[in-house]
Order: sequence, then C-alpha cells, then structure tokens
Amino acid sequence: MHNLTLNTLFVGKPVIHLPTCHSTNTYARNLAAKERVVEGTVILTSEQTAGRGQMGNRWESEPYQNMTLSIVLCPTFLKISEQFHLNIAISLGIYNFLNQYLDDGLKIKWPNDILYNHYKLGGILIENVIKGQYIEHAIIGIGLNINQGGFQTPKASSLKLLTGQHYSLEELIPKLLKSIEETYLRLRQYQVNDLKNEYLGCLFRWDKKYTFKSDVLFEGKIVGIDEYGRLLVEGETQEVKAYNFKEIAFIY
Amino acid sequence: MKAKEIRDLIDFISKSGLAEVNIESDDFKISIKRNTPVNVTEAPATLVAAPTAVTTPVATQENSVAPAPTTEVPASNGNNNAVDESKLIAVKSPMIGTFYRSSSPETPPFVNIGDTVEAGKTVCIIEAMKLFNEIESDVSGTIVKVLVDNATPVEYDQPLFLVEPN
Repeated sequence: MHNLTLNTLFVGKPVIHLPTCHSTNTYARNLAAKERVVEGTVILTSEQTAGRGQMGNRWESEPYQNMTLSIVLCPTFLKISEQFHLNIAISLGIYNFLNQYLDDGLKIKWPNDILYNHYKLGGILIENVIKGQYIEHAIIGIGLNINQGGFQTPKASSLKLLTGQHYSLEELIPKLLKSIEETYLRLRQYQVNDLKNEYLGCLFRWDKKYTFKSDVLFEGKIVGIDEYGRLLVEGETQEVKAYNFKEIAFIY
Repeated sequence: MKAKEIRDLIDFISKSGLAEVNIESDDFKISIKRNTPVNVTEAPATLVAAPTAVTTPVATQENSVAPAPTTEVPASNGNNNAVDESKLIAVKSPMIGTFYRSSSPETPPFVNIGDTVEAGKTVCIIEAMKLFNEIESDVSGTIVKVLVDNATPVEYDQPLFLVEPN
C-alpha cells in the first residue's frame, strides 16, 4: 500500500500507513490530541485488530482485503447543530465512489450505512472533537468491504462478492479519497440543499411504504430528514414524525 | 477517665480518620474501633454499569465515613460539604443528543466525582444521529457532581457536570 497515486487537493496529504493498528479512528484521535494534524491527513491500515463501530460495537475486517481508514477533517465552518451535513457529504462521497462499480441497488441506509440491496458493504464512524461551539476536528472512520470472500453474518457482502472481480486497493483508495474530497468541498461551499437532495435520492427505503419499527410495527414512508438529521416518516394516518437514531428500525 | 473525657476522645478520633486506637496507661485501657459500614452508600444514580466504575463509590465512601459513624448519616451524593456551591462552574451541553460518560460500555467513564480535570480534557460524549461528539471541559478543576445519567437525552445548554475551579 505504498504506491498510492493521489490526485486530490488535500485529502490524503499526508497518508500515514500503519501495517497493523487497533483502530485508525483511535490512532487519529490520539494523534490530534498530541500535535497539530493537517486537515486531510489519512490514517490507513492493512490490518485493523480492534476496529470500532458505534458505542462499543466492533468492526470486523479481514486483513489486507478491505479498506479501513480514517480521515481528519476540520469543518470549522459548520455550527455544531449543522453537523449532520458532514454526515451527508461523507456518505454521499462514499456512495459516488462505489457507484462507479455497482448499479442502483447501492443505497445509503439512514443515517450512514452503505448497503447493496440488503447487504451491508460499509460503515462510517464519525467522531467529532468539540471545543466550545466549534468542531475542532472531525475524525471520519470508514470501513468498506472490498475483496473479502465471505462473512460470518449473512447480512454483509463485499465489492468482490457482488461483482465477481478482485480489486487493487492501491487503485481504489485514491478514488475513494477523491470522491470524498469532492463532496466535502461542495459542503465547504455550503451547497447543503443540493447535497441533502442527492443524499435523499440515494436513501434505502426512500419515498415508498415499508414496515418500520418504533414502539410498534407500522407502515410508513420516509419523506425527508429535518435540520438535525432526524428521519421524517409519514405514518399510517398521514402524520409525519421525526425520529432519532435508535428510535426507529428498518424491518428487512 | 470521666465520661466526658471519653466522649471527647471518641469525638477526636472520629474526626481524625483513624480506624482504630488503643490507649493503655496504669489505671485504664481503652480501645476504640471505627465500625466502617460495609455497604456505605448506594452507587449514585449517575454511575454507569461499567465494572471499572467502582472508583466513584470509593470516593463517596471517603467523604461519608469521616464524621463519627453514629452521629451523621453518610452523604449519598458524594458531594463534599465544604464546597461553596456558588463557585461551581457547570460544563454544559453544546447540542441536543444522548449523553454518554464513556466511549463504550466496556470502558471506564472519562471522569468521575473527585477527578481533577484540565481545560480541554474530554469529559463525555454526546451522540446525535450516530455522530459522536467528544465534549471537552472548558475549565480546570475538580468534578464535584455529575448531573445527567448515562445514555439519557440532553438538551442544548443543559448542565452536565459541576466543576469546582482551581
């Protein structure tokens, strides 16, 4: 993984490559606590031994097969209350990258899982360091299943399993970084409405009636997200309710 | 020894923090042992279920056993009575979200009552829509109170911790 040819402006400059690492997000966080980290710094590992998902969940990834990396960004132009825009830009950047290889079975499951049909291809773990009213750093952890040949859970898949091809991570990583940089730069220009509309267009279970579970099972239709990123779902009596993460589950 | 002298002696020892005192002279022998309660206090409600979180009740115990065991009810909130409440500074939530005292259920809380924190030290995480925000203390001092239960919702500007500044 030493031959990355980057055509980005700042994402991946520099790339810190660690042959093995507990968690690239933890490494990035510790680094940022110790010294000034340049915006766009990428921490990349071939073998992540204690990858993290949200709140103590683990992210399992076979060594050398997949992308496990973290990007340090400094979205100081966003208010804390606007941070869901960052999630939109990153999710969309990853979506646009994968869309070069996959058809429209590719979806973003709100708020930020990457699915192909019902299979999980990747996850995002965004950890912000807040100072006062600002986001000092945003550490964007990305795990994408690329060449892994099988999974313990039937709900996961990889690009190779879906397309039948083996991919060079050295070629794919610069493309991913470029794609994320593009949506992030659009966010910096504050194209938040366009980004949000594109994000909604990629959402899993968008704009049709499906079964959801809140306190009870119900038929609902996703009609949007509010300013905080809460999912707006129209229920059986046409009323629209806003749901926090963990207040609503997709049934599939 | 007169009864009053014995009372005074017991009083003195109870304030000293000594667990046991034996005094012997020609005409008397006295042995005073502090009856340290086994389950001194319940864990504060704010305590997370992490096994390593036992440091909080220990700190509580130190504060509450200092008075004579028979004369005072142990303070259950872990608050040092000597603290001047008007000097305390609240660390407030900069956002709406869910408050977490540690980065995962298996890891210890970022801070406990009695801990000294520097400005810039992470004191909690607030999650909103799966974005995790590390909140730093904006003052240096000692944590005297945790105001919110782990994994519960918080509002914008809601006080989370009380800090006695240095």
